Amino acid sequence: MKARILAVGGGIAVLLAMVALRIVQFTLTQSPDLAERARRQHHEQIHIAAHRGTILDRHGETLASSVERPSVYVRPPRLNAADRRRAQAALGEALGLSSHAVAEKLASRSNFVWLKRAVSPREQFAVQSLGIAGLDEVTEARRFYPHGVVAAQVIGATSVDLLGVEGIEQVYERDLRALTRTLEIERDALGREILTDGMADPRTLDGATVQLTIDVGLQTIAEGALEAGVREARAAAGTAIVLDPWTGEILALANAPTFDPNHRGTVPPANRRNRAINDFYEPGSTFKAVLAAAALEYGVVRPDEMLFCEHGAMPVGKWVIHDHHRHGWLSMSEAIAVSSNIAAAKIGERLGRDRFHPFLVGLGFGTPTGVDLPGEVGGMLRPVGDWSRINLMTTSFGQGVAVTPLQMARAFAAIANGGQLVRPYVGLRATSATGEELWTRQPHLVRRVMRPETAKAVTAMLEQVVEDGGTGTRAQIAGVRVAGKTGTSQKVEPGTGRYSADARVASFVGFLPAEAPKLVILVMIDEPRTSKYGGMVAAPVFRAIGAAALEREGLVPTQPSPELQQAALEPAAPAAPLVPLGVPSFLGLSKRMAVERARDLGWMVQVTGEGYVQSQTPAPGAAEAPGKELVLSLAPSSDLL
Amino acid sequence: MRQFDRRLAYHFDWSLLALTLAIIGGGLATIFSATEARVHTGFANNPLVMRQAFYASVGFVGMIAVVLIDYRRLERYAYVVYAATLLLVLAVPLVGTVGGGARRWIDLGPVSIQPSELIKVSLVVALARYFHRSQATGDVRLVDALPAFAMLAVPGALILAQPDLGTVGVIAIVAFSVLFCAGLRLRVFVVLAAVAALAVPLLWGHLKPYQQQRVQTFLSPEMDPLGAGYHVIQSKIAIGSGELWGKGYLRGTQNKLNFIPEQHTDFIFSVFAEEWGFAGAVALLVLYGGLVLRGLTVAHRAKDRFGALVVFGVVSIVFWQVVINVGMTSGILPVVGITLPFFSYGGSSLTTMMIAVGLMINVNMRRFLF
Repeated sequence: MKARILAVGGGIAVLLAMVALRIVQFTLTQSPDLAERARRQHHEQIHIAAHRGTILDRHGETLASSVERPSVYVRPPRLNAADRRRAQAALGEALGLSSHAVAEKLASRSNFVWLKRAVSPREQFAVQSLGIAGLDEVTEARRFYPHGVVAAQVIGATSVDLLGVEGIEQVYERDLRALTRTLEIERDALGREILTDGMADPRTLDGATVQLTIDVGLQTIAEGALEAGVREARAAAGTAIVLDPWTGEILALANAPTFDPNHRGTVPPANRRNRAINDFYEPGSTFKAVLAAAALEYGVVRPDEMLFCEHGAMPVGKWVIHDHHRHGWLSMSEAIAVSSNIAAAKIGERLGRDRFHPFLVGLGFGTPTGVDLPGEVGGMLRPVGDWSRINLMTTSFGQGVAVTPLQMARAFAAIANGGQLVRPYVGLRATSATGEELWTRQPHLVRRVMRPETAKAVTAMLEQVVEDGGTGTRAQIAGVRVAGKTGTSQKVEPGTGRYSADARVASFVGFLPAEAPKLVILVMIDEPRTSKYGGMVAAPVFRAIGAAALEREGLVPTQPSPELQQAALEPAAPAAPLVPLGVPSFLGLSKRMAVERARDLGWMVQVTGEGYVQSQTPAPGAAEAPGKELVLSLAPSSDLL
Repeated sequence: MRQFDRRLAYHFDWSLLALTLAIIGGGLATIFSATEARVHTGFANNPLVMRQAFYASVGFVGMIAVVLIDYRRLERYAYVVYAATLLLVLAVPLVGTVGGGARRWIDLGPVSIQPSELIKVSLVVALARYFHRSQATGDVRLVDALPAFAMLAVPGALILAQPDLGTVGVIAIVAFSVLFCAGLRLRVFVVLAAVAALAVPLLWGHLKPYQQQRVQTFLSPEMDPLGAGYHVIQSKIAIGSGELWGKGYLRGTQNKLNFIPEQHTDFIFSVFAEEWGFAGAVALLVLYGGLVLRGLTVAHRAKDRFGALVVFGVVSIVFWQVVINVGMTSGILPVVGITLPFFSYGGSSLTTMMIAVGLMINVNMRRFLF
């Protein structure tokens, strides 16, 4: 028996050694592989879908926002055989994928495969209702531009992975950018997520809100008027700028043709051009306002000084300068009002290149304005040493110099604000998602470029341009004094460098009200076909924008308009509703914004649901006054799209 | 109790007690790790740890009681104890409660006992008594061993019906170990092995589907990683991912995230190995090895045949359960519900095994007495 006990002892030693060897095999030899399997099983990285910052207009209206769209994915290793067959059978139809594509995705050895990204609510529901463990969804951010075409070139665009690549989206990428945070999570055997470390406030990952100086209302008006002007003139393109002359804030910047950033697929690059800063043109007669300012600043001419206009033609060496109409003696003011090139040439010659050129440089011609938009060009201002006599003369009436529309608008802003050069800007302020103010742009006065008296005198002349007898009568707006200047210039043909025979740029730049300017408005129409004159094709656009802007800004007309006078004479008719605008629309607004805005307007707000406003009672435009109950029904954003 | 000899205390085998308590302590700590939620509430608030600690104290009292009574006096009651436990096993189909698809427990209010655990030790004692009294020495014939086979077959059949194939296997292998040690002719083992090999295909048809599947799974676990092979694969991953030094106590991811099945009972070794690594696993096996070898030494030195066979039988219970359990968690053997002695959660098993250790100590310290 003792022998057998010893034999058993030996056997036991062998068996224990075998077990130990097995442990060695797992914990030492195979351990890297097994440890990796363990890690893969429970360890996962989740990329938090932070939101790219919102872009707002100056009043808080959303211009660009991030909406969440669900994307569905599959974890092939988690599918059991039955679910795999069901998924193969159902997914193709549910998501509109080919059966081959589904099979390939399901057969993947990867732990995570996208089935389809940015699915519709219907597709999302179809996948959910399969109820297969291993099929899941995650919400991903997509960029949404609620106002569509409005300010498209200013707002710009993002790439598919939400990186700003154009416009404000590009310039303020650092603020708008959503931080992608990778969370290390663990998943238990039932697939439940367990966060290993505490989760930070997700808002700290969201991009900042960037508020623009753009006024969506004014922008919409400007775009409408410009589009109509370009269409009526059968022009190739156009741009319009509305600038606050005192601060340099760009209130509106319209381009035609334009595009809807929500549907970018097939947009030709020309439609995405921000012509106000990316293109330059010869300013033509609008430049005479600049000349007048320089001449008055240096006192080389008085506004009432008489100038002989050579009856329409003045030889200069081998060149001849022409006027559109033949004039004899005109005061300087009259000469500007009728846009005499000959008078301008004479004033320019009197001023001299050594005073005119620095004045132009001081006004910022030849260098970019520094606006916070990408791709700005500086125009072309010949070095002073290159200026011949004829160059000096043509520059005086806006030929041989190239400016961007924004530079031109800024020069007029200096006249409008009493002689200060401002730096135009679009970005007003940035606020982090947690509400912290990141920056607020203060208006920047670059330098004084003329005395206030000079600005005042030029303004008076520019008012005459718009008055009857001037070239800009179509810019007249009832009830408000308008100062402005028309311009027409030949385009330089690309390639040859010669002036084109028929391609023109017609423009009108001005500001209003002339006695206390609030807005500088520039309208440029590129290659109009109906008329080449700025006074014909650009001034009406200016007027349309200016009139609508005044109405919107609530500026009191300096004198009652004829229409108003007419209305006052009407017999007592049934009174029009006191709230002609009716109930404002809150549709599509976020909960917070809708509630805040409605409360500010005095409504008693009731909210149902979460997400974005889908419907409201009373309906938009209904004749109800604030103070009553307003019911907002909200639904998740995906339903919006 | 009367005339307690001072020499007894002198020959008390502290190493057996120390090894046992060390393993039990490790078991308690590992049960805690295996059953705690992610937020730890402390040992005192963990009901399973507290119950196991309670059973450990009950087992300790039982162990001391067994030590105090001369094992030769116990020999007289060997059949009585065996009959009593057999009655309990018999009672299971009548009054037992069901757990995990099998009827194995008898509910006694606050505690429930698993008679199949008790029968392991009482069978060993009964077999030892049988061969002690048997005149056959050295070369036991099959005929002489037939009553011993009967002692095994009755509880074996009952437990098989519960069903608890694993326990039947352990009881059988323990009984055969005792038979081997008692001197049953080797040719009998050979013949029995041949008969068993022929019987397997016949028995296969009588296995429950889950039992058949377990064996199939054992043969190729990766065929269905989310189904039947899941346990083995997860256990292997847990053990292997512990690497050399382990992930640290309470830090086993596969344990804490519930990838390991039956964490506090059958697969507790995987939990331990994951958190303590190769070093811990080997240390634990060394403790068991020490216990087993120490037990074999006691058996070897025992003064009489009864003592030697009891200790040998008890040691073989520990040894075989360790081999089967660790073999199962590491994929050497099919998944059968065999616990790791002293380590897995389970009151009947722990208490019985501690009493078994008491028998070992008992035999050891009385080897010099007449």
